[in-house]
Amino acid sequence: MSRRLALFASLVAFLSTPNVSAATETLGDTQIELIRQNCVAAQSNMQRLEQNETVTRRNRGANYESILKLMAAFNGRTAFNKLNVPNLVSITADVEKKKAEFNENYINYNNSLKVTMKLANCKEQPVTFYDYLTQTRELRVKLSTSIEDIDRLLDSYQTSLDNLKRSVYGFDATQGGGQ
Amino acid sequence: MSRVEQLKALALRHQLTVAILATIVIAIIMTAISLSLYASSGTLQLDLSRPGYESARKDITKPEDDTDFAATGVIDQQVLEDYQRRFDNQRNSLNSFSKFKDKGLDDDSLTLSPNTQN
Repeated sequence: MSRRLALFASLVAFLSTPNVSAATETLGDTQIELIRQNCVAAQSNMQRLEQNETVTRRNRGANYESILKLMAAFNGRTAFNKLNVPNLVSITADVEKKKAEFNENYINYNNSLKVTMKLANCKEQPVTFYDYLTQTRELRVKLSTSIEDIDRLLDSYQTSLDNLKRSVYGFDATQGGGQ
Repeated sequence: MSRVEQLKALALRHQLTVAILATIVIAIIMTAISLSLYASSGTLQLDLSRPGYESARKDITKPEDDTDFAATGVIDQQVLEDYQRRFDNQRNSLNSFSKFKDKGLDDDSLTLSPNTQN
């Protein structure tokens, strides 16, 4: 029984330990000492960052909801007018999917950030602290990528909208604006 | 009289007490389920009404309310221009938010780099 428990405990410990990245492997003694000295201040900086980013996520999320509502209404209107614009519809669906991905990526990133900034005794385990920090940075890059994906989709949407203006109504697409 | 029958008789004698206790137990179970769903679904991370986020709540911006675009009606040049204006407003607003690309987590910002030491 105790052997099973020990096995379970080591499995949990293995799964909760972040992958040691190349960046961590190359930590020198000087930097490890520096991390030991400054990790508490770094955790406090992360706390401030987390507060700001929570607001950013909320504002961005609300804005995605609004723009999707607008796009869905326009798609409905094109259908009402029997205009065939499959691009606009499919891009809207893609933005919806990417928005869900953005939320998921944010949750993963935020969880990792919290683990890093709440790591007790970081002075005694500077390498573990840096491992968690490295993992958090990777998740932040993933989050940023999902934002860029949505931006690209919105650019494509704009191009399709310009095409619709030109092909159906024959007016200069650039006069209406666009990013 | 068996034990079950004794319990049944006791419950029948104290119906109000039993009902109150059952209500409390059900409420505790439902609350536990709700809280676990709140945490596991990720809503916890997205919820700004939590304690400790009072100052953050002040920075929330309400998206410009120009999304009431009708899903029916004609599409002409004027409608397209109106839609484009609304779409641009939303995109401008999105572009004003951080893209999580700043250097907030860099070694230099967190003073974890030897270069940042005086």
